[in-house]
Amino acid sequence: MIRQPHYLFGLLSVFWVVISTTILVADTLPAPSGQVVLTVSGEIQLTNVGDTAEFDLDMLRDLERTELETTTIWTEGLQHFAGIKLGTLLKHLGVEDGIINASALNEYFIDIPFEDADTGAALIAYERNGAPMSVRDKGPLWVIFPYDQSAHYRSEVYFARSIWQMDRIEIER
Amino acid sequence: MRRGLTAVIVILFITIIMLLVMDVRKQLERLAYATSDNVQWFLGQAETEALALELAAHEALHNEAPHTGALQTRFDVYYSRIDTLRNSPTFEPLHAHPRVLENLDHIDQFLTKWVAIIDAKDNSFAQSLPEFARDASAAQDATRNVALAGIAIFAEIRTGQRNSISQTLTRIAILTIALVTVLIIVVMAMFRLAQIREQDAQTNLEISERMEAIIATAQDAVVVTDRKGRVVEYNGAAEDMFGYPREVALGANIVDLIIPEEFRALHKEGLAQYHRAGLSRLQEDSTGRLVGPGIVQLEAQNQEGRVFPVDLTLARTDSRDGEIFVSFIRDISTRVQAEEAMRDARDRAIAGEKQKADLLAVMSHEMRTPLNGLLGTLDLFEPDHLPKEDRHYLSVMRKSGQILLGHVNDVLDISRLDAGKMSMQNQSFDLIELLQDILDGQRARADARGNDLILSPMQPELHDVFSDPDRLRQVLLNLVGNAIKFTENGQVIVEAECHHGLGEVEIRVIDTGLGISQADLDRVFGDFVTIDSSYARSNTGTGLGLGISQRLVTALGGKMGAESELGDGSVFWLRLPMARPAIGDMEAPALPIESTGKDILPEAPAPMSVLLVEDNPTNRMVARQLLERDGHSVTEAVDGAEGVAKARDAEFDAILMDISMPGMDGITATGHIRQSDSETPIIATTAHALPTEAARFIGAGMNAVLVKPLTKATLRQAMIDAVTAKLIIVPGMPLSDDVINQDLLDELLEELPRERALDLLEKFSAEMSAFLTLSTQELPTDFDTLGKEAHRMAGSAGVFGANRLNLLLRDIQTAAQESHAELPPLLAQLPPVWSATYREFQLLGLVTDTAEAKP
Repeated sequence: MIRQPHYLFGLLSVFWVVISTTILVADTLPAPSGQVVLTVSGEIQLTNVGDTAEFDLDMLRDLERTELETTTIWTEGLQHFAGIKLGTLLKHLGVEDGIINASALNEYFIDIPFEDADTGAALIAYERNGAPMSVRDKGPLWVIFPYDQSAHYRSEVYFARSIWQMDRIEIER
Repeated sequence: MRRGLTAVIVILFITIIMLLVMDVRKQLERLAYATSDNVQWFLGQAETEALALELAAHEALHNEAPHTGALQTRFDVYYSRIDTLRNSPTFEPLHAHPRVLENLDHIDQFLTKWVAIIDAKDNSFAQSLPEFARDASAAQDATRNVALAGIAIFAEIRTGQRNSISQTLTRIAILTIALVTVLIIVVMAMFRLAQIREQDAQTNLEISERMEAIIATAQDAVVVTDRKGRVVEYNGAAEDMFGYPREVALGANIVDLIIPEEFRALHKEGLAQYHRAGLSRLQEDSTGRLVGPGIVQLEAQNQEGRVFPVDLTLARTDSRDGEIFVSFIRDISTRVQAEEAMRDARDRAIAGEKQKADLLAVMSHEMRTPLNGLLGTLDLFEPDHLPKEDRHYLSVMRKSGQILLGHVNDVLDISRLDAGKMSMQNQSFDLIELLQDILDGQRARADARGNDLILSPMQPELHDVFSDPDRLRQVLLNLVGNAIKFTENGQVIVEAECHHGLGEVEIRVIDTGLGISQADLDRVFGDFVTIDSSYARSNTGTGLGLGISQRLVTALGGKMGAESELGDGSVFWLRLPMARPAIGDMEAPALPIESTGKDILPEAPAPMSVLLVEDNPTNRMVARQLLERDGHSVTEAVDGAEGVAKARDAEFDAILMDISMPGMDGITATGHIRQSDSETPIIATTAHALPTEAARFIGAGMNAVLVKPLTKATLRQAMIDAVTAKLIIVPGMPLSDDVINQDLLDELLEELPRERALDLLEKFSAEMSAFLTLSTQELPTDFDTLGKEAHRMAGSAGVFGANRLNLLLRDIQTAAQESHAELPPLLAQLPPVWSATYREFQLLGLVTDTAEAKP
C-alpha cells in the first residue's frame, strides 16, 4: 500500500463520502492490505474478495469517522469511542435495506434491524479512549449505541445488539 | 373542624399513594430500562467461553502442528469476558461474595500467568500447551463456579426487587382501599347533608309559601323595601290601596311611589339621616320593630294622586340581601272621617253649651241691674201716704221683684259655677256656730208650719274647720228651707259628724215630711226640677236650688246626695273635706272676692309708715293711693337696690316688696335687708301665686305674700297680717280669662280721682301702642328688652283689670326669657287682645277714641 500524505488521505475520504452520498457506488473496493477485521457478506453492491467485502482497520478508518461519548454498563466511567456509523458502512457498500446479521469472535450473533443503521444510532467503534481496542479489550470492533442519550438505548434489546469483538456482517434481504 | 380533618386525611392518603406510585414507577422503570445486561446469559457465556478455551487448548495439544492463533483468540475472548466481569459495575454484587472472589482470583492468576507467556511471542506458549490445557481446565471450573454463584446471587437480587415492588403495590392497594373507604364515608356524609339541605329548603319553601299566602291575602297593604327604599315585595292589598300594579311597584322607590309630594324631600332626608347615623337614631327593641314610631299615622298618596291618611307599622329586619324594612299600611280614611265628624259634632255641642251658658250669664246680669233699679225705686214709695189697696199692690210688686231677683241670682250662680268662674275660699270658721245661725234664722218659718228645728249635739272638733262658709251657708239654707217647706207639724233635724279627723265631715238635714219617690230621687238634683205640682204652690223656687247646691258642694271638693221614702221624710247629706290645708296650700283667711262689699272689708289698721318697692309706675301709683287712703305714709323705691338703701336709711313699719324687678329682684333685696333687720315685716307682692313660689319667698325672709293685682281689701288684709306678724299668703284676684275684670276696674275708679285714673289709662294706652310696635316688628331680637317691657305692661294691665291682656303679656314675658320659639304665636295674639281690651274701655267711656291712642 502506498503511503499517502495525511491531508490527501483526508481529502480522499471527503471525496469518497461525497461520491458515496451523491452517486450510487459503482467503484470496486480495494483489497485489504492489513489484517482483516471485518467481513461483510450477503446483499451488498461492493465486494473485494469474492462475494464479500473485507476490511482492515485502515480501510475502516478511511470511511467517515464519528465520535461518541457515553457510559456503558460493561465499563467504568465515561468512555470516548470513535468509529464509523453502521449506516455509513452499509451505504458505502450500497446496502439500502435488509436485516443486518452481526457475528462475533465468540460466535455470538444478533440481528440488528436496518432502522438502527438508518437512524445513525449504531456506531462500529474501533477506538476507545483514543486507542485501538484489542480482542481482550472487546475489540477490534464494538457496536455501540448512545446509551446516555436516551433510556430507549438502555434496554436489554440494545444491550444485546451491542455486539463486541464483531468480525462478520451478513446482510439478508 | 370535622371537614378540615377529613380533607387532611384525604390529602395525606393521596400524597402517600402518589409517593408509592412514583416509587413503583421508578422500580418498573428500572426493570423496563435494564441497567444491566442479561446477567445470567452473560455468566453462562463466560462459562461457555471458558469451555471453548479449554476445548481449543485440548485440540491444539492433540494436533500435530499446533496452531496457537485460534487458541490465542479464544484466550483473548475469555480474557475480555472476565475483564468485563471484574470491572463492570453491573457485576459489583458478585464481588462481595467470597466464593466468587476466590474463584475470580484463581482465574486472574491464570490469565496473568498466561498473558505474559502468550505475549512473549516466542515458542514458549507452544511448548507449554499441556500445562495451559490443565490450567484452562481449572479456569473453566472456576468460571463455572462464578457463573453458578452469580446466577444465584442475581436471582436473589431480582427476587428482592420483585418483592419490593410487590410490597409497594400491596401498600398502594391497602391505601387505595382506605382512601376509597374514606371517600365513601365523605360521599355518604355529603349525601346526608344534601338531604338535610333539601329538607331545609323544602321547609323554607313551605314557610315562604305560607308567608306569601299570608301577605297576599292580608287586608293591610304590605310593602317591603330594601335599605335604599326600593320596593322588593308588594301585596295585593297594596295594589288595591295605591293603584300601582305589582310589576310597576317592584323596584320602584317607595318615596316616589306612595309618599305625597310635599313630604318627599323630608322623607328622603330622614332616610339619608338614618343611613348616616345607623341604628343609633332609630333604636329598636328586641322584636326588631322601630321603637320610636310604633304605629304612626301618616299620609300616603295613590296613583291617582289622592292623598289619604294611613296607619303605618314599620319593622326592620336583616335578610340575606341586607337590611329590609317591612311596612304594614292600613287605609284609615273612613276612620279619620268618622273621627272628624265626631269631633265636629262635639265641638259644636260644646260651643252651643257655652253659648247657652254665656247667654244665661249675660241675660241674668243684664236683668239684675234694672231689677235692682226697680226694687230700689219701689222703696222710694212712702207706703204711709198710700191708700191701703195701693200698699197691698206695692207689697205684691216688691215680693214679686224679690222672687224674680232670687231666680236671676240662681241662674247667674249656675252659669258661673258651670263656667268655673266662681272661686271658692278655704278659710277657718266655726261650723257649729254657722249651723246654729242658719237654724236661728229659719226658726220663724219653721214655727209657722208647726215644725220643730233641732240641732243634734256636735263633736267639739267642728268648732274649727276649713272650707268656704258662705257657700256652705247657701247650700244649707237651701236644704233646711226645703225641709221646712215639705214638712208640716213635723221635725227638721240637722246633724253633723266628722270622719278621718276633719278629712270628711258629713252634714245631714233630716225631715219627717212627705218624702220623695225613688224615681224622683234620681232627678231631684237636676236643673229646673220641681218634684210635684202640689208643691209648686208652696214652693216658689225655680227648681234650681238643689242643682246649685250640688254644684257648690262639688266645687268645694265634696259630694251630695239624698235618701227618702215616700211618706216617711227625707235625708239630704253632704260630705266635705274640712281639714286644715297643708302649709303650701295655705290660702286662708281668704277674702271673698265676689263680695268685696264694704260690709266685709276689714277695719283699716292704725296708720303706718310703709316702704313701697315696685318698678312698675302704674302699680306703684295705685298701691300708694290705696295705702294713703287708709292713712298710711308711703315711701317709694323703684327697684331692689333703692329699696335696700331706703330700708337702711329709715325705719318702716312694713315693706311691700315686688318680686320681679330689673336689677336686684325682691328676693335678693329681702336677703340684704334681713342681714341687718329681722323685724320689719316684708310683704311680697307677686303675680306668681304658685305655692312653691310662695314657700320660696317665705324662705327668703318675707312674712307674707300678696298676690297681684292689689285691691283695697287684700292690701288692707295684708297690712293687718303684717303687723300681727302672721305668716300668711293673701290670694289676689283670681285671673280669669275675662277681657276686663269689672270689679277690679270699678275699685280702681273708686279709689282714684277720676281724672287721675283716666290720665293713667291714657298713658297706659300710649305705652301699649308703643309696645305693640316693638313686639310686632318682623323678628324681635332684643329678647331681654321685650321681656322687661312685657313684664311692665303686664303689671299695668293688671291694675286696670285687663285680665286677658295681663295673662298674655306674662306669657310673652316668660317666652322672651325662656323659650323664644313660642314667641311668634303669642305676639300674634297681642293686637286682637289689646283691641278687645280697648273696646271695653271705650264702652265704659274711659277712653276717647283719639287716633293716637287707638290700637
